[in-house]
Amino acid sequence: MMKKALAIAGAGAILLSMAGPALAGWWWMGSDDVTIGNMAFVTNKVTTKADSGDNSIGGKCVFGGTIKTGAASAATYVGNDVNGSAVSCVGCDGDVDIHNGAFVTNRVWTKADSGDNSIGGKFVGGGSITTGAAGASSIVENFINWSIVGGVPTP
Amino acid sequence: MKAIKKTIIIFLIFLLTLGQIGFRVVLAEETDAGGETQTTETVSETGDPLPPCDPPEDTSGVGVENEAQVTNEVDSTAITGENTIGEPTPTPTVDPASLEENLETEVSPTPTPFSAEVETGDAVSVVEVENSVNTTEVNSQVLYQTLNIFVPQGGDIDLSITPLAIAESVFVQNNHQEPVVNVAVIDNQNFAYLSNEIVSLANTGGNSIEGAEEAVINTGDAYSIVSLLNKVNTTFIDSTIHVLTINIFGGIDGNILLPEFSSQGGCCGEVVKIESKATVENKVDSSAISGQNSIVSTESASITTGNAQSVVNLVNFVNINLIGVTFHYLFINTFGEWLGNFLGWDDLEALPGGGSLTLSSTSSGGEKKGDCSTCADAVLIENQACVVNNVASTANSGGNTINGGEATIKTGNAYSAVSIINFINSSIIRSFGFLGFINIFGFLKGDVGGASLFATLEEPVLEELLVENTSSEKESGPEVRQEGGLLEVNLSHNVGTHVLPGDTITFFVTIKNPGTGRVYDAKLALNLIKDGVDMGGGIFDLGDIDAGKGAKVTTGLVLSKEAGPGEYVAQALASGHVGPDDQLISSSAESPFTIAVAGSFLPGGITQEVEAAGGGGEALGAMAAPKGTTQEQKLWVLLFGSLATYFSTKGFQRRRELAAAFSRRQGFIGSKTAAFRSFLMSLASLLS
Repeated sequence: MMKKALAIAGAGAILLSMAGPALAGWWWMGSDDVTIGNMAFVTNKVTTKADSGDNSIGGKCVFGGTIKTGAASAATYVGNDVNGSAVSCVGCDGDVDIHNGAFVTNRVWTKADSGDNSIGGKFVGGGSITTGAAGASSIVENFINWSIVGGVPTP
Repeated sequence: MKAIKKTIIIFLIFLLTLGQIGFRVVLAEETDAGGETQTTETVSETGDPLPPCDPPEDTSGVGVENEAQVTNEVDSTAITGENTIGEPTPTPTVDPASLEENLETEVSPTPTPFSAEVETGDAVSVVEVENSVNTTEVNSQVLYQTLNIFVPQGGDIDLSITPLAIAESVFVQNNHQEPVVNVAVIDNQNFAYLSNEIVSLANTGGNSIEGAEEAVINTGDAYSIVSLLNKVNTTFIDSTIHVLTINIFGGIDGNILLPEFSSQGGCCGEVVKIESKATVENKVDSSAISGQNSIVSTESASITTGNAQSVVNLVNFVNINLIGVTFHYLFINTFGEWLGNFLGWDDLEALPGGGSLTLSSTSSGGEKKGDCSTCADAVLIENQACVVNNVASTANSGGNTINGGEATIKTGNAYSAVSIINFINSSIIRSFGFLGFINIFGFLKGDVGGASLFATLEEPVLEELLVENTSSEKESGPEVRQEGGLLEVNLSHNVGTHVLPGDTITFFVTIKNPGTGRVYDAKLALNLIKDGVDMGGGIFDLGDIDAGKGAKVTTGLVLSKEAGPGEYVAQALASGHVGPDDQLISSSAESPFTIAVAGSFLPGGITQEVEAAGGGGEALGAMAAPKGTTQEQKLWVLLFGSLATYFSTKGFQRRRELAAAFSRRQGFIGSKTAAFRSFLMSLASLLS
């Protein structure tokens, strides 16, 4: 019971220390102690658009209308490396406490459009629409709240 | 009674916790490292985030307090479009004096049949913004280096010979006995508000023709490029860091040599407390439009659009803390053209170049110093940052209209590329490292890599020998050349099964002296041989090579587009003299490769000879490749090849770093990255 109470008390103190400045009074820590508190709010709103389409040929009389579009390609990469700590402890003999809080929002809209083409009219004699390729791709990578303590690997 | 007290204490703690933070889920794991108790705690939070944008409270004590508010509004526009050709239309006016004249105009509205043509040039808009806000250095050597290259230039950029390296060398040589101002306790508070409003527009479209019997609109290409780099609240303590930015607006015909450092002795352990709060908002809108054209025609009509490509690359590094490590961070952003490779750098492996690369590694620092007098005893860092980036990039070659008879619209390509990198609240303590950004807007014809991987015709070797010779001559007259020197050569290149005309081949030559004496006046001849015929080559002057020492030569060769197919052999011949009789010794190595497409070499088999790194000898470093592909093809490959490489590299590096802790997540990311690369490759082949 006592251990639980101490654990909870410790957690509460840690969380409180994160919430406020609490700049004074931390010198009680022993030698080589490392305490890290990170709080991050990250919002990414990304719109990526490639459009070779949306072409139109019209009129009263259209003869031999031709639409040929190029390729449309849209690519989005969003990478978030948030609240990361690497603490190498060669020769260290203290405690390491790391507390991370993160809010990360990614809104990614990626569109590639080579279409939406039209040939029209009251009198249309023939017509040709050839579109290029359309490719849309999105990648979102999140590395949130990572910690490496006590020996950082060598790649 | 005790139980009641405990219950009350626990209840109060919960109240305080919930009141301050809101609902939280706490996951804790304990690890035992070398008998120490180290606790890593991860807190995942839910609820409405409240951006921590209030300025820091005043605190007592000695320290550094930075507050900054920076707002950048950048508007870059390049327009060759938005042209109009229309029917002559009467202009209404109320001027009585000209009434008669206007009436005459109005009574003759019949337009004269005419032909019209609009042809626009290319439009290029480039925005490059770099912000460094609230940077603190304590007991550190930090070199900031920014190179803006606006015109094409030849020669290497050797970053290993920097003021920082020189200062470090002197520092080590002097056994750091110079007086040092030591800062024992650091209290550093940073508050930053950074806002970037960036609009980039390149427009060759938006043209219109009205009423022509024959109408033609041809637009050029539109390029809109935005590069934004934010470094906010960066703190260096007891560290040696090289921060580099190279913006290549013109071009470099040479290599970029990166400084190398192994794990070095760091400062002793110290009390560290870091509190970082960051709010980062990125709003990015990137559009490439070659379409949205319209024709209202009474006869035949044709619309042909160019390609439209839009790429966004957004990377956030937020609240990153590196303590006691050696790290490398290098970002190569290729918006222009890069003919070369990444050859490797310390513990980073070689990668093919051409596109954008993100290279990073983090490893443990060395053993701590014995003398801790120059190390900070205690470090307190508080960072608060609010960063808002609003970026709009538009490249438009479309949006053209024709209203008339026979009509033709042909648009150029539209490219929009946005790259944003945010370094927010980075604390680097008793660490060594390199943080670099190479932005290629023009061209780079050369390789990037660690300095030792390039030609080692280093002047210091020559200087050292001169000193020895001088000394020897003074003491005992002319030097008697030693016996026992030997030469050993190893030759390799980066060609796989075959190479195509126009490709770049990189040769790696290692020359060693495994003997017991010095080899004098050593030279390396590197030649290409086809069907027994020497097609040309170059000679490198290596100087003298001591016993047990050696030299490395790395050089590139760009094949002509007309290079003939067949089997070729690269031959490296090292020669030198030993003994009192100046006996000639030599050693050679060969390495074959295949050229797969018909054509022929330019005279000599080499397009151009240039001087190798270090000078002093002739070199086989031809890098002047003729442009064989169209601008469209190159940009397409650059944009998407770079992205694919970026993804794979970043995923690969990060996976390795976090292998132990995040194996399941890595598997997910790895599969996604592989799938994406596969998708891009198939897409590229489809579009080509």
